[in-house]
Amino acid sequence: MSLRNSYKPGEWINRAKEINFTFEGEAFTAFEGDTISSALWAAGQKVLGRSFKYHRPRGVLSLANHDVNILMTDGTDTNMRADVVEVKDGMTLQAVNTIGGVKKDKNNYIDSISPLLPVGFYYKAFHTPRKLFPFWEHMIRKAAGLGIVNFDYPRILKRKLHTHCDLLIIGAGPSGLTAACKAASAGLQVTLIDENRHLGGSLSYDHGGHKVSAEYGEDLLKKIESLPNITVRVGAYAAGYYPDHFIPIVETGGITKVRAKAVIVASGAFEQPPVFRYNDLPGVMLGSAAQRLIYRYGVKPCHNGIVFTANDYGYRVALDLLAAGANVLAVVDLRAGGNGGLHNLELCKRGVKIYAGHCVYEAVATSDKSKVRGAVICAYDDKNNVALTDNKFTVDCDGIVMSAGWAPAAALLYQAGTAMQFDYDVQQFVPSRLLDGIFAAGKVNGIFELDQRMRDGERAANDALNYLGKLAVNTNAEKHSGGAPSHAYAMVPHPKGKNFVDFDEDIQIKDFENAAKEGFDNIELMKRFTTVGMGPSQGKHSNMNAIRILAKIRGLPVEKIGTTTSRPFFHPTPMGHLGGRGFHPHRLTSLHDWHEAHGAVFTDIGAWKRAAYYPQFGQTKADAIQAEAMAVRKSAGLIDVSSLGKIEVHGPAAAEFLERFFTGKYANQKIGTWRYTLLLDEAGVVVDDGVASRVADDLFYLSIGTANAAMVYREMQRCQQEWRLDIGLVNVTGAFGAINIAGPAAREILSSLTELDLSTEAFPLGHFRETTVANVPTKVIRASFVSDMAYELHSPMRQVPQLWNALMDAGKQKGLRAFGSDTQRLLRLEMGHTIPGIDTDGLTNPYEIGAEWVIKMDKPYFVGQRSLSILSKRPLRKQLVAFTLAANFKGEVPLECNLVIDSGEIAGRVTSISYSKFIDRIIGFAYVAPAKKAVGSSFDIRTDNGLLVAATVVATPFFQLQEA
Amino acid sequence: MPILRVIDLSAHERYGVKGPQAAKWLASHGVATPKNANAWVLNKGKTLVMRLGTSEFLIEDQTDGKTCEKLASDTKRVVGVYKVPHADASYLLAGSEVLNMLSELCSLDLGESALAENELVMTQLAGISATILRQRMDKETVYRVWCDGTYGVYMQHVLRNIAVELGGSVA
Amino acid sequence: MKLLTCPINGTRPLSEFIFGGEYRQAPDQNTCSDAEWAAYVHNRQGAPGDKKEWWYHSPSGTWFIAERNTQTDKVARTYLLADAKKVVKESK
Repeated sequence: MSLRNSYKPGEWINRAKEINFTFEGEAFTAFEGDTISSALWAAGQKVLGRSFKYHRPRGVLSLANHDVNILMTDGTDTNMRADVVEVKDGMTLQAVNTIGGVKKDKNNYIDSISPLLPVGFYYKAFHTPRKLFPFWEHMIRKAAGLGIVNFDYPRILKRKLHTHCDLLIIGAGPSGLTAACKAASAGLQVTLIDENRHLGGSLSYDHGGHKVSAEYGEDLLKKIESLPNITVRVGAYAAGYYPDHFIPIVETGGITKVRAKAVIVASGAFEQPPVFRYNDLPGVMLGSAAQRLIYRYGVKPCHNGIVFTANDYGYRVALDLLAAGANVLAVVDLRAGGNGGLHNLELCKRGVKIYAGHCVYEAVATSDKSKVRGAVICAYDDKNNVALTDNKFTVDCDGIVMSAGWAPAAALLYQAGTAMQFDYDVQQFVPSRLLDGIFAAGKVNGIFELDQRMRDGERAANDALNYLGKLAVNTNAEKHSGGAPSHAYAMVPHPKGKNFVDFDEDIQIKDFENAAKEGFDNIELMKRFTTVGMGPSQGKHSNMNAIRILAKIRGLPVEKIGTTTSRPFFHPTPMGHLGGRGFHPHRLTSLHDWHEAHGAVFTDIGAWKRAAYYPQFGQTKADAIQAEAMAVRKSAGLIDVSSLGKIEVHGPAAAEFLERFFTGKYANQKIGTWRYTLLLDEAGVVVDDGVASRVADDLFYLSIGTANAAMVYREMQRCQQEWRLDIGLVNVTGAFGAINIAGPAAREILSSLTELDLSTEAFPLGHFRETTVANVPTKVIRASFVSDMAYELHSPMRQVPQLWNALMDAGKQKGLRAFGSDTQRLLRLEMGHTIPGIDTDGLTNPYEIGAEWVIKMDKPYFVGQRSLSILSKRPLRKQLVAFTLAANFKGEVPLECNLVIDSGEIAGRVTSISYSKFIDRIIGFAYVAPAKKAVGSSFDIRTDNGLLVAATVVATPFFQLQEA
Repeated sequence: MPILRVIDLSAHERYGVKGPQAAKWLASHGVATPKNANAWVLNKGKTLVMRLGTSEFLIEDQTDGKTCEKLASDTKRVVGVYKVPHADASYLLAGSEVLNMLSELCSLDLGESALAENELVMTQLAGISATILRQRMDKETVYRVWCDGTYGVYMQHVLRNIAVELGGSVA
Repeated sequence: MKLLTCPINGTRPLSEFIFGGEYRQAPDQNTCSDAEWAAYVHNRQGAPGDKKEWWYHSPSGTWFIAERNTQTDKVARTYLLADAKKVVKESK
């Protein structure tokens, strides 16, 4: 039988547009604007889903975005919240978490064995024997979780935007709307958000049988519309609070991060269910859910209903039920002296029976257990919280509407560091100390009467205006008067249980008692043991009751129990939103297109994409690297080293700066030469190395390893803040590119493109020159990192391709080929050069890598000097040595980071290791005990498989092995 | 007004200089500089002079400008004046959706009420360091963006994707 | 996301900044004992309270000092190291 009422103004549905959809194969019609739940309920379909654990039938509970037992899938999306998701034409819906549909869920047997599944049972039951755990894990994983992930889900790049405002108001109920009007009228840029599709909050449904609130709502909405400086976002929830008023707003289209100057939280309160046996049957719902059904969707919650209340709100709901044409057979008020104030009279006039000091002892299910068919009512001892069942009686009904109180929607306030205290006048946690620029108004602030909420909104707006330096009056805070909106303990014990506290996880009162008995009687421990509040609704309708139950068990006042931590995100947010369009910056050299065209395999080094090697004709990585290295050894190779850090140090004190920053001496360095640079930190640990070329008395040109370049430049800037020398630092990393031509043919190839005299006499190792190569202005640095015959060419980034192509052309006949950064690592290993960060770690001092030669202790100061003066007095603990494995070594080759073992103890590790085709040996670097550092001594390396491989210390460069 | 235009202006001539004497040196070459830090002036409609922080300048010739060439021809090194070579990528963004686009790229408020006339900001755009300013050009509000040239391909890619998504065009 | 104010570039989100550690004066390396130096290099005062810290505004390359309370995470003021003396004088 249809529960749809006739049209009423203010409803959210468009009766002119009919919508057809199916639910578990059955056809339904709805109106545009219906949610899935409201459409099904209107058609009399009351079993909408199954609970997570016991697979009990469930229906409408809150209709406020936390009916988490009612999750649907349409085949593409899953875990859609039916209570708020609009139904669309052509949808084919299924409830998740059932086998064979909600009506005949094959897992419903679990409910009958529920006594065997107390809370925490899986912590205990599947512990032993260990062998069986994988089996149980498989079973549990199958049972756990709700919807099934759709791996074919389309990739939609949701945008993540930023926006700014003076005042962000969260919640567009009476308090939020009033605050927005006030603040915007005073000139603030206001952003007003609400998770609902329409503004108004409770003004759109909490009428108490009258329309006063609706009229207030209309007035406020008109005013909001007339104010151009209010930005309204509906269907948007504030997902979290981050420092300095940074709040992500989640909408269907994506996330918008709002930076506000002040925030008013007017987020309202979640209605809390009273706890009694079978309070989860379809047909048992919260008072505010019934009101939403009636006024938003024109749907009658039931035909013959009972209101079970523990506050005055239930009386308003009863009047709304009457207004919707439902019969109200009884108002059952848990409070001995409860009467609902003014509404009492009106209900009596309309013949509604009121049972004060009574409770619904249990709901009665139909024979197929699919919905409520009656309520057992009896007296209730409000002092001792027990039902007095002597004179219990049953009333037949198809709905039980319940009101017991509220829990503040205070997640954002908690996240913002708000101190909350328990206010006994309202039986609710309320803010007691708010951080700068954050204000609370309305129900979340413990204010419940409509006119008071509006005044509280205005008060909050005034506070925000004052905070933002605008003139505003100081208004006094509102104070609740009359009976508490929430009941202190709306629980009805029942020997047979099934009185649910947490609907997400099917947790009953006895589960808390058992948890406490087992010692989990702290709220945080109880949460984890019982899983209360850990379901998809995150305790929005269960945490407060859990706190009250625990308080009672422990005989403590509620505020001594405390609350669990509230973390962002407030509401489950789709992964697609969080993923969204991300930014993954990367730097390319001007030769990137060339590398790509020549089949380079790229590697990420810092932000750079570098060509690692160029496999030819299906070469493996190892083969490609060996072939490139051979070309460098036999003829010549060319590598793009544009990613090197490049820094100019200008000024009269440039040499002094270098002498303070690095370990070496630069004051006496001749123009046209370069020197090695070694950078330490204050503890004397090796940080980086590089090359300093002296361009002029007052200008050095530094090249620095790719990975550390940004950090080294930053550190130079910081030191300069302290030293204040007469220098200027210019980072030219991106402005200049660099290539290195190396190998026996390098000189001949280069000489064909430049007038520079490249003879050893005119241009020896350790020198650099400024010239033009292929008409490109170039600094030529005669460095020997990868080969004794090598030239590093630095030129303006955009002209580097010209240089590169000219060299490639000139070298074609000489066997010149490109090589990548992986090959470079092998080449420098053959040369016996270490790389900081690869052959050193966060504790390595320069003595351990044999870098004494570049440490000039006779300078007045350099970074790390004082620490070295201490370290140099101490015996070394380890020493980096060059090693080789036996000629023709066959067997498991050790890897980088494999350990060096000495008499069964760890003595060090391998830092670099590679086969060199040119030398035809496996060569590497490793840390060994200092006693083993002499050339010719041998040590053992333990491989991944535990084999010990003998290695022999050799001198560098490794080429001597080949000659031997 | 078009929805969104992204124009690559990387090819403009640029000249950079920094140091305690840089402002004085530029003045001696007839280049007027902004008085305040993080500000810009357009000299004779042809040369954009940006003051990056307090003591660094980026000069960019617009169409017909010849200042950079002139400055570069003076190769004499002076204490307290340090040339900063530039290989920037640079873009012009304009159109009715330009703030929409920027709100995805940048966390700062770059609207007219927040970003003053002749103000310049060094911030992060699409995750990388960038310099941004707002300009009136032929009665249209345009945004100018500079970043390190090695990020140019990346930046171009990001701008293109968002512009196309918002219905704009890329030149 | 937290905001921090660079003395040159103004108030920006924390993502534009890099933390540079506590600002501390090194002892005179020529006169201090090994133990004093080691304490300076390796020991940090971890108790919450007012700290001077190095912060780096990355897009502009600006190092500055922030006086921050590590318990409340409130930044009292920020200034260039070169202005430290001036700032201290003004606040007296």
